[in-house]
Amino acid sequence: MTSFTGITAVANATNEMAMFKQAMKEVAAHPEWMSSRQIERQRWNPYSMEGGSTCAISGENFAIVASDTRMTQNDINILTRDAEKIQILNDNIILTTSGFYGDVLQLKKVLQSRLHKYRFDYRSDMSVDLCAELLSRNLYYRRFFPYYTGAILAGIDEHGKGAVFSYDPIGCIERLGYSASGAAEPMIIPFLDCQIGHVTLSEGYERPELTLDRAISLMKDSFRGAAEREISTGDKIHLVIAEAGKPVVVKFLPLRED
Amino acid sequence: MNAHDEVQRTLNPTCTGTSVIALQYKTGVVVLTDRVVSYGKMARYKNVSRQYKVNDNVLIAFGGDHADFHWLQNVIERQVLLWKRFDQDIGPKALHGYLTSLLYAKRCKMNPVWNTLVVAGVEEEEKNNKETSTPFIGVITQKGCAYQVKHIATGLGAFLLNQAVEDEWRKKGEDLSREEAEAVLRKSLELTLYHDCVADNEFEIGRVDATEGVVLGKEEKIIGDWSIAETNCQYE
Repeated sequence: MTSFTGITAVANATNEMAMFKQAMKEVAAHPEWMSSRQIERQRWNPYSMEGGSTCAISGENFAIVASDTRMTQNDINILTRDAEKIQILNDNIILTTSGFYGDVLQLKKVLQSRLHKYRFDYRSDMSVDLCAELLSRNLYYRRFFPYYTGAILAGIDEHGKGAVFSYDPIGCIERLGYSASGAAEPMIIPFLDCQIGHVTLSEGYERPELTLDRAISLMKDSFRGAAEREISTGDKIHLVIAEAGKPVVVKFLPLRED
Repeated sequence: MNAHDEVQRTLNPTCTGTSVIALQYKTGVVVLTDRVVSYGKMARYKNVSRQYKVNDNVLIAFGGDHADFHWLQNVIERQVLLWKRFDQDIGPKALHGYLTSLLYAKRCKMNPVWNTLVVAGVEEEEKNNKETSTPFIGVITQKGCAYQVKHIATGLGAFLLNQAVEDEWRKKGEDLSREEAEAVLRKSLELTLYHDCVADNEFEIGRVDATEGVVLGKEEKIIGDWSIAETNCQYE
């Protein structure tokens, strides 16, 4: 009889110890004095924002893409004045991204390797429509730990027309005439809405046709305007021009550096 | 994620190094770090080098958690040995790419390497042709954000020095000599010493040169001008 109670006592003690340890773990993870919001705030944030803006405009037989080359830390400190945010994936696909630069690099690497594999398998370059769908799938694949990027894919499609595809961070896709993303997006979009979309122009006014030259000057204007007002946009415009049947042209234009 | 995991990840750095300052000159790169590792605000370990020679072409300097960098040194060493098996020396660009992927992968597992790395070096192929030789400085943050620069100050130095170093670099550009570059770095360290409370006055300047290869610096010391302290009334 006595030995039997002894065993239960030991069993009770080990059980109590285990419960005590469990309670200690729980209280360390969710201290009672901290609200869930405070715990959330203390958690390490895997994202950082490097600022900058990008924009793309498509026309009848061309697509132009531009981005600034500034990379900032906390919006107040310039890390570098010549960061690359535009990737020319092949002769008719251009990817431009803003947001978290680590994800931008990863996304570029993933797409490049997929395009490389496509070339290996099919002996031809991928078309921009296919790549647009591929990018959308790749973004949605990381639905619950997203690439924090505002991506724009531009290029010349199979019919020789300019194409711009705009994305949100989790892969929602839309083919548009023009698009912008990044810090100065709220400034560039209304300007292009007015100049290209003519959404606020009353009837009877002249609506100039969108030629390549006009698109380029609008692009320059929108970035110069953005650089005046938005602190994480500046230094240089990285301008990429794709025209049907012509090689891709890359230009760098100065912007304000303060 | 439960409580037990927290202690196995660097979500709070313990012993840390502060700024790294690096500058490209005509034929190479000079890198300045101070020689202290702090525990919070306390100068816990003195006479600790924060630079690591990978091989004759590559030098790495770090800011951030010291223990994580020790772990990285081990990983880098293994990578160097892997390249050796194919009779090759790892170059700065390759190592920069490798570490970018590594840090990004660790970030995605929510287990970051708490370091800001500065990879400095010269490519072996370019060393033979002095005309096209371009020195390399690559920076990687703990979240896997990587970029190349001509001049850099990390940590608190990013806020204090980036502009000062950039202005100096722009005066001469690519023609900056080694002595001039080192003078810029010494001046910069003096500025961090005044403004960054965990910066130290004992430092070293390492360099990677196209002809000499990696030369680790000797310990140096500056005092600075503290005459203004006499007029400061905020302290006893």
